[in-house]
Amino acid sequence: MKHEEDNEVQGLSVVARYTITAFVLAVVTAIEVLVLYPPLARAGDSFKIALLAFLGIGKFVLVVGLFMHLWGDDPLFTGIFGLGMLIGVGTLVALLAVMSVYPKRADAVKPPPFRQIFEDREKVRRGEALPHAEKHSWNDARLGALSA
Amino acid sequence: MSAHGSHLIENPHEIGTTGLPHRKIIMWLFLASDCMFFGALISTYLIYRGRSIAGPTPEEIFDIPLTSASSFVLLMSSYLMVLALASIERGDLNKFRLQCLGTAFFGSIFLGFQVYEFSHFYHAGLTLQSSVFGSSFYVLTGTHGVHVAIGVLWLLALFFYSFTGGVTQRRALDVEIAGLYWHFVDIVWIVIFVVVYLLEYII
Repeated sequence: MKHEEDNEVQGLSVVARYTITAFVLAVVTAIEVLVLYPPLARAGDSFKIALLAFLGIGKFVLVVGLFMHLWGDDPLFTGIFGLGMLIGVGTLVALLAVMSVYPKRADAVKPPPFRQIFEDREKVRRGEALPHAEKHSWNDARLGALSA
Repeated sequence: MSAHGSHLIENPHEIGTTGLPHRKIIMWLFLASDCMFFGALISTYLIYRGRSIAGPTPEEIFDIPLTSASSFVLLMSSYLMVLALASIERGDLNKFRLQCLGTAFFGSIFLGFQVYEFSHFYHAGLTLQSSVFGSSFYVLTGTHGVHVAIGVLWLLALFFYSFTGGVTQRRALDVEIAGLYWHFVDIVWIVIFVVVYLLEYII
């Protein structure tokens, strides 16, 4: 019967194959976590990022290929899933590239507390000058909006 | 090439002109669309990463040993899921029930870890409104958690349905489709674990 053939691949029962895969996945997860602890933590950032990317992609491929049976299944399923992945990763890369023009936390200007915003609004209504208005460029836009 | 397990399909009308089961094609299409959905959520998290001007920061509150344990639990649930499929394809209903229930149990443990983590973060001052980190983190991991919860309910439904004679060797496709969904939830967590949790301590 065909399903009996399915349950025995290359002399290895499917249960044994899945067990070995699960063991490999567990070991890879442990290595991923060990990247944050010595001695691996002392390695260069580029090496650690490359290692995490390699291990993460490896786990992903193992689960999709063996647990989801994409290896050996109809190529249409690989095509459908691959297209979704391509668009998902493409969205990620495109958005990161577009949004990378904005400043990081170190360069960001801390906005004032709400109470100060309300006090500033009252001062603007009364026509008084705001002493801290020149300090930050974002104030120009905010004051423009308040005056409008 | 025929689809995995297609010889175990009870209703011949389930096979279309492609020679593949309709429901399996639809599930793969759904998973492809979910890839785009999670791609957008992960992009949002990465765009706002390091841009919060109010604490707490990820390094202050993340608990890597706890998250590693929950990752391990989810991986093992995937292992049990694939064993459950192999059992039903062999016609071993008792083993299927045990492994299906085990998968749902491991999924529930993962959800328990997530509830504990969210509660801990909330008491540390991280809310949906507190910072862009809070917003993007809760939306991303919360959406994944909802997927896990739906998966647990689906598995429990299959478990109870098996007692009514609804889950048989000839209807193994039902289990395979649930399995595809469950493994997808696992691979999304593989990405989240590396990108959100581990990379935070490197770059």
